[in-house]
Amino acid sequence: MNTKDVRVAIIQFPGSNCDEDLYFAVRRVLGHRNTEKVWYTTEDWSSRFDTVLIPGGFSYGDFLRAGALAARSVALANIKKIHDRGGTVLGICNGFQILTESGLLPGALLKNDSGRFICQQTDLNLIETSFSALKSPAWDKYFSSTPAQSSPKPQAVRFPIAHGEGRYFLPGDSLARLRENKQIFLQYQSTPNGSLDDIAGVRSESGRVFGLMPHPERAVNGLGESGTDGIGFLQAFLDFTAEVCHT
Amino acid sequence: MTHHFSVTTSLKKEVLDAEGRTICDTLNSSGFKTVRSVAVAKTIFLAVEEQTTEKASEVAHKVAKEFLCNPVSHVYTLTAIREEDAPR
Repeated sequence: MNTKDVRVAIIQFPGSNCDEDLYFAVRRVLGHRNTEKVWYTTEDWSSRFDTVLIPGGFSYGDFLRAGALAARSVALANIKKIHDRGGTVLGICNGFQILTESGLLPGALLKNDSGRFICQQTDLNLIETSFSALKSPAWDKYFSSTPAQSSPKPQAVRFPIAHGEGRYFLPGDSLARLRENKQIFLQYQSTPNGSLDDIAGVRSESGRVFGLMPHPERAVNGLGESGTDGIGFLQAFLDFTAEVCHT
Repeated sequence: MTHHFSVTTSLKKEVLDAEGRTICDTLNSSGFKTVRSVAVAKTIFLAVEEQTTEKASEVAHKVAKEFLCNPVSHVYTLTAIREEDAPR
């Protein structure tokens, strides 16, 4: 499949508030025309898309726990169908919380260790061996200083964060398994929230569900300190979807 | 018949309770220096319409396990209560 043919759904829950930012980043900045916003109660939308992006915000007001109610909503059946069909899923911030609450990703996102909501730029390492999307053409185009094919070193990127519940937690010895399976694809260079092992993003064992707390969609236009690292990240994700999705 | 339950969810003991710690720090700095620790839990009240207590309890446990509690980070306790002890 060509990347331009990848059909992208951006799901909107009551309380999502980064849906428009994500749509802007994918549709306008990347110029990916096959991008559509989908209200979460829409019936059986899964067959129309190859990937679903779950944006940040406060779905259902973060009642019960962040992401808990959205994770148990009717939308999850459609998200799972896309994944089971061979498609990809990307959850950002509240989207990541929804994916852990639903069990599609391991772990839990708890209140930051400082007890504070944190809104700041973060320096991160994208770990190439754990994120095969970086082997896409977008990697060389946007991160050409350290080509994925030739360098085992992680790629430094800068994305902003804005969350109160971003402390990644895993019980017992699950961390060893996560490392062994190379499921950690994004780490803070210095954790701002007390995350276990500086984890900022993990993928599923299937390798097609990704979740991260930082906001790549807010790093696409170079305004202020935001930079443009998000362009390469999102484009690489779409390239990766084109490569793995054969629906 | 309506059966009433309270479900209390709290972080597992090994998980840092950032909210509890922040409250404790603030209490200490506000003069309540003898407060040694604070733990925060959430209590949810259920009213379940079922024929028998056993069936109602089964439903309440299922709700607590699959919906109200995240087993990765939390534990829950479920208690049958009298109607007048429920908040509404």
